[in-house]
Amino acid sequence: MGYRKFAILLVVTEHKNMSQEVSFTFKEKNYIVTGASSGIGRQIALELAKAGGRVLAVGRDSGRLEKTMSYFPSQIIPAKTDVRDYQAMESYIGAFTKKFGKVNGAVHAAGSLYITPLRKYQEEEARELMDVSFWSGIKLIQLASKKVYAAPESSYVLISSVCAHKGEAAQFALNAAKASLQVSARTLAKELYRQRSRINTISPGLILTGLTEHDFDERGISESVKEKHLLGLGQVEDVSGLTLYLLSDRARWITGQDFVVDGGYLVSD
Amino acid sequence: MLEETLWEFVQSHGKFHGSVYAAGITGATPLLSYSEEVGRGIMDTNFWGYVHFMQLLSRKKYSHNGSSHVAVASVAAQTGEAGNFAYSASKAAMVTAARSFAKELHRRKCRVNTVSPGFVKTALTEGYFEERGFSEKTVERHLLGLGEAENVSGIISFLLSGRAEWITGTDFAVDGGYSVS
Repeated sequence: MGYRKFAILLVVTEHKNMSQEVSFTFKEKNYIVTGASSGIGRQIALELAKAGGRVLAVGRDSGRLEKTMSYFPSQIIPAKTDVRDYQAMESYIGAFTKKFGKVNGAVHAAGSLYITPLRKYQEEEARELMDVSFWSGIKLIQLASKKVYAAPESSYVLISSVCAHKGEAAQFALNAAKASLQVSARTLAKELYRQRSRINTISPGLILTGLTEHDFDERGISESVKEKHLLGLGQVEDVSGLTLYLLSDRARWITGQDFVVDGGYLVSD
Repeated sequence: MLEETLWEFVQSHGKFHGSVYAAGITGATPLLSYSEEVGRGIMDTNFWGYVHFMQLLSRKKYSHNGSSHVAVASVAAQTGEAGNFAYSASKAAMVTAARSFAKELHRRKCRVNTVSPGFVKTALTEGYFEERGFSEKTVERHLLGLGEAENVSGIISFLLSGRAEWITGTDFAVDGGYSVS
């Protein structure tokens, strides 16, 4: 118990002061979160658990996944797999629902990042990006919304990106994958509403996560990109808050939409 | 008048941490027969009212740094409802103005956003349906049914909160699937 309290304290102090004005309750609710070993996905898994929910946390890095789990060992169930392994995904979901009941929603936060300039992009990298970011997201929703696994009135959130709106240079694969998620969400909203389920996307601006930090190191982050984020670069909890809102019952009339969370990036010149 | 009311409030309770502009009117304005007075009245209340409200609220003596401001627009800004150009235009004007204000106010860490609801059951939309006739099609296009006021108030409260401190210059559609159907 002492260990657990300490762990929870860590979650809170590891990140910047999180506003206490909004609190969520996800007691007895089950969610699937991909990309849960780091970044945005990890933060969403932790906050869902903190709010009383149970999370099937899908990730590739078992070490980091275990660490995420250690904060809420009875609520975060690790699923170590590549999201492109659909068979493994379904067997994890099957086992999870068998043990805990049907799932109330899913979040696709898994993504991979490659620079893909038209003249010299690697076919393999571009296809991997499309597979992880886009196809696995669609598969996740297909699986999670199957009648055998899904509770009615479920909510699904796909993490897209402002780059889908903007079309950043040398990133056609990422832009395309993220845009595909948005238009698919609009499409799937029209199929999922029959079970009163909802699907939305969130388009974050530049967030400081492991993925983007690595990317900055490689390319050196330009001052102009930073400046275009009028409120500065983002933190993972800037995205997780809205994600939890969209998963919650308060958002029960929201479907088929994209939500830009970008510190003002898209409106800046 | 509005300024006096705000000033009185600030003097007794302190500066504002944010605001919600939910005042709005509607009315039929078919192109062929619209009344200039009705059309301008809608633009005055919905758009100019919002602009003047924000001008006051953006002053340092009225609002804290980091304050959050939300205006209620409408999906009509996107869809352009038939026979309703003035209302649709007034809401589109608000959404665009909010983006401009976001760029002017970010230095004080103030945030400006809009929420665009679909048809929510309120006195205003009841009047609209009475005036124009109740269209089954409009109702059906709301995949999740017509909305309730709390479907909109929830996201507005979220935008006002510190959890939304990185959200500015954007419009959130809350419409039960109306704009995608």
